[in-house]
Amino acid sequence: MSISIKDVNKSYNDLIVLKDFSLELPEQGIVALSGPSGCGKTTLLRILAGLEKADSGSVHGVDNKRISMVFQEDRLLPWMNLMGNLFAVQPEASVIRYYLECLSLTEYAWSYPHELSGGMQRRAALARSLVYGGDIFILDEPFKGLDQKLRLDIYPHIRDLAVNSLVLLVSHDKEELTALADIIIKLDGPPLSIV
Amino acid sequence: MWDKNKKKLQSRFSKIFQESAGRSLRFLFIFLFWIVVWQIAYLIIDRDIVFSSPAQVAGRLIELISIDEFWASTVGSLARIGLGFLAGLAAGVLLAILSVANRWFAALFKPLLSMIRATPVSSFIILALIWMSSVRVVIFIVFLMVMPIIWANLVEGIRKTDRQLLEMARLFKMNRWRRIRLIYLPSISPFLISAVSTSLGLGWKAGIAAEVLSTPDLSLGKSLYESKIYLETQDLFAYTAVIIILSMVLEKLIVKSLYMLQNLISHQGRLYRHNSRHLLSRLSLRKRL
Repeated sequence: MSISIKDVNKSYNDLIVLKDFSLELPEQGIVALSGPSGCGKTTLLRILAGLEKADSGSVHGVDNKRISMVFQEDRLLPWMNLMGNLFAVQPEASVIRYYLECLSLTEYAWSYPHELSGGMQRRAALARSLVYGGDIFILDEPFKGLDQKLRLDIYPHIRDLAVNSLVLLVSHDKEELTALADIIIKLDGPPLSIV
Repeated sequence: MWDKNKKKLQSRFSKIFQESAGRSLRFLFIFLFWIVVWQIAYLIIDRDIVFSSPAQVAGRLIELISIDEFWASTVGSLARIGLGFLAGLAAGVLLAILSVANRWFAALFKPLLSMIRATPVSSFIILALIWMSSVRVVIFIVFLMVMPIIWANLVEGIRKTDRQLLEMARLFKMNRWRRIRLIYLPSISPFLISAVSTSLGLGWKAGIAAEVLSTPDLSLGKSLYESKIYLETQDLFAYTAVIIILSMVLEKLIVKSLYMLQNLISHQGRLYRHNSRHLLSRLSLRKRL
């Protein structure tokens, strides 16, 4: 069953972020959302993830689905090393080991977030989302601060995810969108609208 | 390779030894400085009935530790104050949780907290003397001193827990216990440790003051009071020294234990020593790999 967002409204005080916004999303594949900062993409994703309630409207097809997310901020537990951060969401050591290797993080497994560079912290946040697994992956600028080579190394793993899951990717990078996305949705706002 | 590691280890040990020797020397110097100041004050005052010398107090302390009653008084005071402290800690934690969970509860009990904090401890002691037995007075006073500090600090700690981390935990479906262990406890532990440290000192002093006024049997406070009545200044100084030493030792012991507990619970080490942090973290997680 595909995911459908119907006539969703959301506003913060006087700012209308979503106004009768509707969108259909497939069950699998990579759907990229592209648009200027502050147009309402993150609000839409947060409603999809169940982190925020819409003022009105409905979201169908996300109930009973496992949703994994890379937030705009890394949100790593500062008092735990990378391994601890990953064990917090996934008990299987083999899964953790696999994704640590995929994201070239194995040698930093025992490092604490403050000991990692910005790019490494971003990869760690991505690793947490990948080890958790899910039916829907919401990736809000997951490659921010990563160099080109690393991005190219990570792309295949994101494509692998999209075989069985829906990957919602927010990015401002045209190259990244072309390389990864099956569908690109250009957005503008607020209020959020499809261009 | 082995030689290189050995040299590295030797240089590390020698650095640690030098640092620790430096610290000990500094402590010794400061200690001796104040003993000299004390001795000079004694020589200037020159009246044994008013002021005792360091040597007299040390001599009396040595005598005291061979007396059974002294140990019974120390244990008695520790037990009463410890009981009051534990009761205050438990009540403070419970009230903090209820205050965060329910705004009405917080609003209802806020005036009580302000009232307890503003009332002089001597007023409480005198009132308690009317209401209850001398043993209970001490426990009650320590409870009253500890509970509001723990309560207020924990409420602050819980409220300051990072909302973004809590949201992350919600998204990744961490259960309540996991959220408490991995997010709440590490976040509130600096507040709890600071509260325990402050309230322990305050509770200890208030407890001894309550003992002085209520004079329960086998207590340091009663011994202090009797020293004053019989003008045994050496005893007064010796018991005061015991109270200060016990307070310092207790605070160090309890705060250190809390740091260690914090490490064990969350593998956290930010506030504890670097090495133990890594060791605990590696041991506990490598086992799982």
